[in-house]
Amino acid sequence: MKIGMKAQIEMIGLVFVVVIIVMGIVLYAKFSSTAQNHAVKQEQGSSSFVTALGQTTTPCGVPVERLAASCIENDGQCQDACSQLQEVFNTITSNTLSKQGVKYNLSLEGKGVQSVDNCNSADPKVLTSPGGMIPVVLSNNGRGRITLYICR
Amino acid sequence: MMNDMRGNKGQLQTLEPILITIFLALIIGILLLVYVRINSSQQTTAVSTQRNQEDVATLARIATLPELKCSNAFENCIDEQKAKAFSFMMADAKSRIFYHAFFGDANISISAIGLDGNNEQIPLYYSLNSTNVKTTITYFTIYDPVTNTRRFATLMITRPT
Repeated sequence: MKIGMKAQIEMIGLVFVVVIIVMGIVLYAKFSSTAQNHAVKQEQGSSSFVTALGQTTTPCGVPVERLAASCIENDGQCQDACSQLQEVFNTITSNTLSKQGVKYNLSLEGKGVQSVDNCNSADPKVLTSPGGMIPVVLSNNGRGRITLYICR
Repeated sequence: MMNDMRGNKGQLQTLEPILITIFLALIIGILLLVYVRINSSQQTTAVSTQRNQEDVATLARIATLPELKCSNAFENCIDEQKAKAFSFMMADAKSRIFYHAFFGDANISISAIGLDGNNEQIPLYYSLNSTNVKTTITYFTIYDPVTNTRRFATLMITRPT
């Protein structure tokens, strides 16, 4: 009798564990698909953001893409090109992404010109997507790039 | 005394299948509840994703409207003068009815960011009265043909949820 009762309790325990595992799998599947949709949306936003940013006319009279090239090459086309670029980054991000409560990292790679709000682009755990990127064409056929990362 | 113990044991043995049935029913009930919740949540997400894609597509189409797009070959560009004329035209209810087939129930506006600190709002289209709304944003440049400059701009579409 005691052995029969023990077996029943064990069976119930086993069923309970199976139910918990199944519920866990279902919940994981649900949340992972939601996160994927969110990442796709963010990537679209990042891409259109940097594309529009690259074409924006700066106070120097040239587009941001050209100002970035001037900053990298230090060609004197725009005075204090890197400072001007930093100012443009700050003005645009503070009027858009910051107001929307988005965590971001916008930078001209290799020159230390960046505008950041709680987003470390070196930490892949917090990034929602690869982000947006536009190439900066240099006069010596070299390339730089402006990148935008969006964080969770 | 002996009879009482046997009676209790008998009662327990009778209750066993009932308890197991109740336990299994509870588990099945919880599983069904979780399934229904997840199913409805997935449907809501699917509808939301589809609406979001429609909004993004609408915003992309706006830049291809001859009434708004830049007359030169710039991509992702809206002509500032055309946008202002379009906004003025939308003050007329007849115009809003005409464009309702294209935009549906929505409020669409442009917010141009001035690097000198002067930002500008241009309401493009409005036919929304609902308070439960969702906003989708995309980014464009707005071109001023007079000064031949392009400003960074956000294009917002607000729809009922």
